[in-house]
Amino acid sequence: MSRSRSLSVRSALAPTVVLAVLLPVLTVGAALLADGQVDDGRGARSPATADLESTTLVCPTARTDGRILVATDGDQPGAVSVGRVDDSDDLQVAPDEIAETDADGARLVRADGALAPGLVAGRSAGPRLSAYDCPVTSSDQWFTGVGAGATHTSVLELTNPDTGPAVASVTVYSQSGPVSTPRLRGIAVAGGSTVRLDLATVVPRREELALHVTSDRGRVAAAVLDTYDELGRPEPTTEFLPAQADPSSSNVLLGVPTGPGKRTLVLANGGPDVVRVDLELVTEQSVFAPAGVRELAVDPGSVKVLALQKLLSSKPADGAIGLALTSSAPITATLRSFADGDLVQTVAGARVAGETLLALPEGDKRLLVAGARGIGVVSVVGFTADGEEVSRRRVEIGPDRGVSLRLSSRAQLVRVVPERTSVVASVIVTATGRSGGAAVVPLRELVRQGLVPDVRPGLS
Amino acid sequence: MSGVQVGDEVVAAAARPDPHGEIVAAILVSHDGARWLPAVIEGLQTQTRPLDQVVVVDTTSRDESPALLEAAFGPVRTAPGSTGYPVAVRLGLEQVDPRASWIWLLHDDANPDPGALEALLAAAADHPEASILGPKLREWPSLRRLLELGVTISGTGRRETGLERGEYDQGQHDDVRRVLAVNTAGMLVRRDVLEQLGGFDEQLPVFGNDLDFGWRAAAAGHQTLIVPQAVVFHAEAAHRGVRTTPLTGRHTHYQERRAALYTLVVNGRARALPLQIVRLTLGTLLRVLGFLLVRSVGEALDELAALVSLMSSPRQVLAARRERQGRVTASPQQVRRLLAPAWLPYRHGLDALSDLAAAATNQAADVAERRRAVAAELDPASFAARRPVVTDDDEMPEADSGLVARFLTNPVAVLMALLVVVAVVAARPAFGPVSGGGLSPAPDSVWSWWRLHLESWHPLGAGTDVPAPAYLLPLTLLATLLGASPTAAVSAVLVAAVPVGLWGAWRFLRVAGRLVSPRGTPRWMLLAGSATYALVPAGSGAWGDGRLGTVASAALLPWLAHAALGFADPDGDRRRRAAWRAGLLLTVVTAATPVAWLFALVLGAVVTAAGLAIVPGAVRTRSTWSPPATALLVPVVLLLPWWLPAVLRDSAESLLLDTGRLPAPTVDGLDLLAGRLGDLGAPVWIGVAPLLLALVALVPRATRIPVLVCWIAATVAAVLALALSATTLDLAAISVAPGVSFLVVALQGALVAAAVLGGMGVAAARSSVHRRSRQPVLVAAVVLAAIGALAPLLTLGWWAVGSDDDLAGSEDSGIPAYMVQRSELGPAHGILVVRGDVETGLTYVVRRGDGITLGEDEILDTVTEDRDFTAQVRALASRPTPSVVDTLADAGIEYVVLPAPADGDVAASLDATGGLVQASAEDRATRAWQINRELADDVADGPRSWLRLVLLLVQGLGIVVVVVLCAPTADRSRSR
Repeated sequence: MSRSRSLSVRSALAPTVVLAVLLPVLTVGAALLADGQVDDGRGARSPATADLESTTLVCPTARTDGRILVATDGDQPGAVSVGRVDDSDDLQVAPDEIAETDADGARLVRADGALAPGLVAGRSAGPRLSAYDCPVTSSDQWFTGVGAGATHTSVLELTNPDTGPAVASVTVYSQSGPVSTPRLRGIAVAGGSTVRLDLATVVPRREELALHVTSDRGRVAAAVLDTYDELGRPEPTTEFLPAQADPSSSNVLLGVPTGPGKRTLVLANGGPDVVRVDLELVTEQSVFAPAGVRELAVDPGSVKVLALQKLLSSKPADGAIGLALTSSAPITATLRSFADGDLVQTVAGARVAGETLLALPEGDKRLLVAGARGIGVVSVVGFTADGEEVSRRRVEIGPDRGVSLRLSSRAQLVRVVPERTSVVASVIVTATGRSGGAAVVPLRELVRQGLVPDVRPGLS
Repeated sequence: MSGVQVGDEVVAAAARPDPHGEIVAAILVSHDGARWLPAVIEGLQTQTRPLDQVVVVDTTSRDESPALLEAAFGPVRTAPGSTGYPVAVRLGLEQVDPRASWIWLLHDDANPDPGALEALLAAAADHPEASILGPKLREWPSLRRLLELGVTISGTGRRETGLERGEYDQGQHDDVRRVLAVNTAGMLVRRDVLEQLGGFDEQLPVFGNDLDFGWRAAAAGHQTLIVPQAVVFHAEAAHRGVRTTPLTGRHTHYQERRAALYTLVVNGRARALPLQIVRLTLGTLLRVLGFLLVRSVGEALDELAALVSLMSSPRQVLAARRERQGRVTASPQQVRRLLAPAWLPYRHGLDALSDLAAAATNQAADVAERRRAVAAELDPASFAARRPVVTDDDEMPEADSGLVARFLTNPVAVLMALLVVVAVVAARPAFGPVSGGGLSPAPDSVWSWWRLHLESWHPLGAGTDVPAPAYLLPLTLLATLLGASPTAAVSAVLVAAVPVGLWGAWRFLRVAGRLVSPRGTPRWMLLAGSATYALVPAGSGAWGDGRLGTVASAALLPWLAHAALGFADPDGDRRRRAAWRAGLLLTVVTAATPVAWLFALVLGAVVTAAGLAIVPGAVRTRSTWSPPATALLVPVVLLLPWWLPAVLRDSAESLLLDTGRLPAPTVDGLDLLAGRLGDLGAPVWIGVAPLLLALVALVPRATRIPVLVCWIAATVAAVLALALSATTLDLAAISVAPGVSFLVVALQGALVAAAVLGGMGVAAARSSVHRRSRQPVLVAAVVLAAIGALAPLLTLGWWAVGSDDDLAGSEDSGIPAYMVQRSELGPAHGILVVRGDVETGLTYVVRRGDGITLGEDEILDTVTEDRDFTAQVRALASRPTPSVVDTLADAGIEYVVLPAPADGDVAASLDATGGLVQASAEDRATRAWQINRELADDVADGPRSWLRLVLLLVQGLGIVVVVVLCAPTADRSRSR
């Protein structure tokens, strides 16, 4: 009797007991499984790339006989505008051809639409040949080997290609350390105008200087026109000093002109530590460190000057096409040559991995390629200004030597295509005319695409 | 003269010596009075001073009263059924003996005492100046309660007797005194005075003719006396609606009011007439409102009808006034003295309010008591009928101790007060303007909120017609009440949340405890439980993060649960009221946290399913399921202006999102169980206490079923949280999971309730445990009690001292101040704020007016992305051209700002664009530009939505109706 009663009691309790076990398990289980973490979609989104729709190249002022040469890497002809911000003319450009116009002052070369990617412009000037590859605006660049004294003086030219005002700052380094120049901080460049700063007036010094030009507001294109006035020469010689975009631990300077005269290597160290630099010579056979060249040390925030004419005229340096500098920290470097009374500036070139183009004046041309990271092939094609192909070379390149290719002197448009490796390349142009003169123009990577950032609505 | 019997009476009277030789004729007006007539007739026939003549006027009675009267007094004068009392009296007067000098008016439901007429005449002899004399009216059938001893009228037209309701006659009003008027039942009036005054006003056929007559008599210089020695027993058949005539119909209230208003207007002084009419109109409207509030719609309409009827017959009123003016001889002051004092209506008003308040608060018998009472009635031998023996001495209040003394000697009350004080102190960041975390700053003026609620197109962002969030209306009403200050409303919600939650939890747990056991819950357990629950908004971190919606719904949830307990009430009317209350509270809670409605729906479904499984018959009856269904439908209707346009405008995500700024804190497993929102809040180990206690609460068998009910609610909350966390809502700016903060709060509430109810089981089981296991059980009980008490204490301490909340007085938006000031000029002065950099992506926000204030985030979060505008901003960031700038100017953007740290590439390209002028900023790392174009005028314009207007109207009406239906049932017995 009692057993059946206890059984019935037990079975009557069972539902509540079952629930008393089930419900907490269900609750705790469901709660622990609930995970409110959700990918909120606000993580980093990389930008897309799109072809440039508009490019502006800035060609600096030339003293005399200034010419602007414009070419395009695309396959469509079109018109580019050459001139100032509010006053420009159209210039028709066709693939593989060069369009030329005479202009002495600073000019903007603008292309929109299909012509914008792959636009190149070159500036040439006389009387002794000067050649310069007109750059786009940059917010950060270095000019090494600038002078502000009587013999060697430079003019810094800042051009603002836009309608709005721009502000740039210049940091000056000298052989004895950084130079404080309040006048060169926050230089206002009005829209469409050019500011020319004569360094001999602004920061007169006899030392070699290096300039670090940055833009705080707006866009500014900087160029330096170097003048060398050696005693005993009837007139000074000028040359454009190309910019170096970033200091690097590995600098390759290609283009050593022949002819008697001074050869000066200028190194600039903008960092906080002492930099040790090893110098090597690049020839077509090898890259080697010549005996007797010690390791260089460059103090922080200062410039080091090395006279190299003895080295470069010595026997082992015969056939050297350039210098390779390896340093413990990033530096910038320029080789200034004063050959036959003509100033030639050789600046450490930038790495080129894709097809690139140069528009050059007439004259003997040699393409110098070195600094390859691996085994690769370099093709070069030369066109005349009318589009006639006059040179086509294809050569193997390796990391341990340089290549020097002769191009037809009629070739004004030089297209270089490195394959399988990135290289540093320059073209040394020697004028064949009466006045003579030489110039070294480094090749740069063409900017064909721009970044389009990912834009989305944000939280308030 | 008519009838043999009457003639005999007359002869007999003439034979008897009469001191003054006066002849008294009685006029009896009868209508369907057969119930009372036998007694009345006997009373008349047994008068000590016999009547000389009785004239009977019958207004077409359908019962046997004409026969009765004819048998008693001879032929009866018959009048049509629609004859009013004044006309009947006039008809009777025509038949009165011309020599009669006194007329005694009688009703067919007024039984005079045998000595009544003699006393009246004696008083008339003593006071020869009196023209009208009235007896003391006592209630029939109880015969001892006083009804009237003369009447007067107050300023609002109320008939004032000066007596308490149901006052017993103990001789306290036995002086002969002058009054304004006496009731026509038993009124002895001189015949010449009656004829001189023109009888009774025929505009007042049933009610109020006595007051009007008395007033006219006083104005004409006649005195009215009350003679308490004469007693008449009056059944008040007409007033109480027991007898309906064709004249009154069922609307006695309408007739009474109309009579009162008429009397006031017609007899008042001419100079005061306009003011009086205004006062009566306002008074009537106030009474209408009062009747509506207590859900007496019929009486409210009667009031209104009476006023309208009076106002629509001005000619009659003016004619009556002219007639009276002709007879005025007494000075107004003399009449004034007889009227009721001027302060009397206000005292009646105060009494009515206190009655209402008492009815609301003095719900002495809560649902538990009522259920027990019903069960006891059904089965007197059942457990429910056993009253609990009150053993605690401190439960019985001392007879003469004051409120403060009782408070101070009650430790629980003191602790609760202390808790409230500490909570208010801990809420000190909320005093004054507050923003930060999930709380946007409140706007400066409450009109911004009203505009946001009422407009159908908002000039926010790119202009949108997404509806304003649902919580805006309650918050705006609160702000308007608190002096038109949005800051005050936000501060009030944040500061009062914990005390309100504490009170609500106390009430709910107390009633729940009494539903489980007649003893109820021990007060210490109530305190611990309600304190634990009340601190959930603070301990979970919702308060510190400024989650206004979560905090408000946590405070209101126990009130909602308490209202929902009313669904178990045995009385159907109370169940319906519980339904409306629960519906209104659910509406507010859903407005604060939209997921609450979903929870209520699922819980209702689960409970219905369980009910169908266990007691199918009870669940199927309509009066059982209709209150919960009503409560669920009320939010759907009242929140129509929010959810319907949200669904139509493709921003239905707001139906599942928590309110407040995004991103909301994410809640995962342990957070849900410990009652925490993400990383915010008190340490997790404090929050696990309710869970532990609720698990242990399943052990005692006595309370297992109530604890399981609480666990069902907890399970529903957890499962719903699981389901919601598995979905993702993709908004324009961010992807989030639905907001589950309400479920966190509800889960904690269910666990706390389970713990408290289980505690009751532990307390009850203590006595029934074996001696052997008593010691460990005691230890276990002590440990559990310690846990239960420590948890709220630690949380409170953490909140008051150690919490670092995000709330601050103001926020820095990173935008230059002058731009903010310009943007407040109008919606065309928008600011485009772009953050981020090219490598990781840019985000943009358009800021208009005074920035994103409270109420606007929810709108902007659910607006679908305007892809064209995004493309324009992308073009601006990568390849800006003057045409892009023009498009932005047309969209109402005046400034473009890149707050610190600004991306240099974007800044450089913006510098280069024509049409953008560089603007200055205090912080050098912030870049800003001004768009140098004409500003567009029509940015704020958008289509007006008629649908929204209609829905707003529906909402407004619905709120009024629901609020009225929620009002407590005031037990009003008809006061006379």
